[in-house]
Amino acid sequence: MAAAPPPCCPRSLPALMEELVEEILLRIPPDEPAHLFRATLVCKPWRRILSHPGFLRRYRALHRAPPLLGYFYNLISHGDPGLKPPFVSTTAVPHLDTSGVKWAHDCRHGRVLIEAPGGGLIVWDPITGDKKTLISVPKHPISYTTCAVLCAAMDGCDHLDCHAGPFLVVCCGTNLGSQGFETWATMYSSETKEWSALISIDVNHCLDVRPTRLIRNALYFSLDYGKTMLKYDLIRHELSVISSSPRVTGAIAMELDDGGLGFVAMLDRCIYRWSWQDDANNGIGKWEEADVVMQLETLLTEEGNPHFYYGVVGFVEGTDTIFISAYAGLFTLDLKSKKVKKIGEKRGYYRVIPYMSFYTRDLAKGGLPL
Amino acid sequence: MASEKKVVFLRSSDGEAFEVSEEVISAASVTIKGMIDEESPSRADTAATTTLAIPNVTAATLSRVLHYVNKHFDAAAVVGRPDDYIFCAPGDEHPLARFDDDFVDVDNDTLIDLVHAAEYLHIKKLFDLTCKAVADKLKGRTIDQIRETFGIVNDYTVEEEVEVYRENSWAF
Repeated sequence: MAAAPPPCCPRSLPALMEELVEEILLRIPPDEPAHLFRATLVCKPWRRILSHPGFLRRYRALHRAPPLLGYFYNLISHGDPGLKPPFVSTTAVPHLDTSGVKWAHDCRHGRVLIEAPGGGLIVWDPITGDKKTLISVPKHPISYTTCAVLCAAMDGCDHLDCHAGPFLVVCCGTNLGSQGFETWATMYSSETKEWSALISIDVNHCLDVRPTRLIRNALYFSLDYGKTMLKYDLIRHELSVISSSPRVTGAIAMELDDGGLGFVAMLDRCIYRWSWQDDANNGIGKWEEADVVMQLETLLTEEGNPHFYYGVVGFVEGTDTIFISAYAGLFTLDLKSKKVKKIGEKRGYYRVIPYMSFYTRDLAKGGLPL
Repeated sequence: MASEKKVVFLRSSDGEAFEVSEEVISAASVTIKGMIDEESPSRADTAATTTLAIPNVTAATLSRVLHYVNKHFDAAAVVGRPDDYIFCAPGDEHPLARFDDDFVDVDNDTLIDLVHAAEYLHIKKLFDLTCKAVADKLKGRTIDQIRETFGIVNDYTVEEEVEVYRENSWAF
C-alpha cells in the first residue's frame, strides 16, 4: 500500500500525530466490533492503522477480555431430536450459520464444541469457519455425556490469538447400568488425535448437560441439576466429587474473587452464592453460609410455563455475569454490580452458552465477510 | 520528620505559573520528575523554589491537568485503591470514577489538548483516560459525524469509499 499522508486538517484530532490517533483507536471499546470496522471509512490513514496486524494484536492485548458476540442456546426439547441450538447475535457481527449443529456443548477460548446430527463432535471456529471433526468418543451406549473444549496451553496462553492452535476436549458421561451409575471421563488432544483411557468414579448422581466451568486447572461438571459438582483435574486426570451445600439445586460452579470455588443458584426467587472452604473441617472442606446476591421479584412476577426451567442457565467465564431464565425472558445478571439486562425472549432454556471472541480482520483470515 | 513540603512552580506556554507539591507531581508525571531530578544537584541546600517551563501546555490545560493530578496522586486525597481502574468493569465503581467522568466531559478541543498534555508530561493514567474519552466519542456517530466532529478531511475517492463500504457492509 502506498504511504498515505498523515491526517491533515484544520482542527483538533488531525492535529494529533499518527501515533496518538493510534492510541485513541486502540481504546475503541470492543463490545461492538462494528465500531472498529466503521472507523476504517473515516480516512485512509485510519484505515491503514486499523488494518495493521500489529495494531490488532495490541488492540486485543489491551482489552484482554474478548467481547460477547452472542450466545447459543439448547432448549428443553420435549423429545424433539431435530431441534437445533440457535445462535443469537448480541452485536452487529453477521449471524453464525448453525445448520448441521444438533447440540452446542461448550464454548471457550474462541472455539465452539458442537455435536453433529450423527452424534460426532466438532470443534468449530466460527470466525474462520474452520471445523475439526473428532474421532468418536469411546463410551457406553446408554449414557448421558457433557463435553468441554479448551486451549491445550491452558494457563500458559492469553487466549488472544490461539484459536487455530492445539486444543483439548474433555468428555464426561454417566452410564445407566443395572448396578447404578458409573461416571467416567476421557480427554481428547488435537495433537495426538486420540482420546485418553477412560477413568471412572462411583457416585450416586447422574451427570447432566448444564454448563461446565474451568477454574484454574480443573473442569467442573454438574451432577443431578447442580446438586453436586464433578471435578476433573486436567493435570492429574483425576475425578472427584464436591458434595453440595444443603438445599442447593440448579447450581453452577463459579470462581470467587480469591480464586476459590463457589456455587451460584436461584432459590425462592433469590440468587444465592456459596463459597467452598478447602481448609475447613479438618481439611475435608465445607460450604460457607449462603449470601443472598439479589432478589429477583421483578423478573418473576408473571405466571411461568410449567414446562420451562427457571434458574441459572449459564455464565460468562472469567466475569461475574450469569444468565438467568425467568418468567419474563432471558437475562444477564452481573453478580457484582447487580445490573440486569434482558437479552432474550421467554423460552424453555436448558443451557445458554456465550460465544466470546474478538472479531478482527486478521483473525478471520478471509473466513467470513469482514 | 516535620519538614515543610517542597513545592515547584510550573510555567505554562502563555506564562502563567502554577504551584504544585513536588512529591505529587513527581509521582504523576515522568517528564516533570525527570526535570526535577536534573535540577536537584543545583537545588541542594538552597531554599529557592524551582520554576519549570512547560512550553507545550497552555495555562487553561495545565490548570486542568493539575486538578486531575492533585485528585489522583496526592496520597492524602486518594481514597481506596489508586491504580488500575480505568479499564475496570462497568459497575466496579472506583472512588474517582465520577470525578473522571466529569473531568473528560468537555468539548473536543479541550479533550484533545489534554491528550497532548498527558502525552508530553507522560502521565499514563491521564493519557489512558483522555484517549479512551476520545474513543468513546467515536461510538454512535456516523462516519460523516466523526469527520465533522474531529475536522477530518475524507481523502477517499468515491470509488474507494464504495469499495471499503462494501467490504464492511455488515458494520453499517
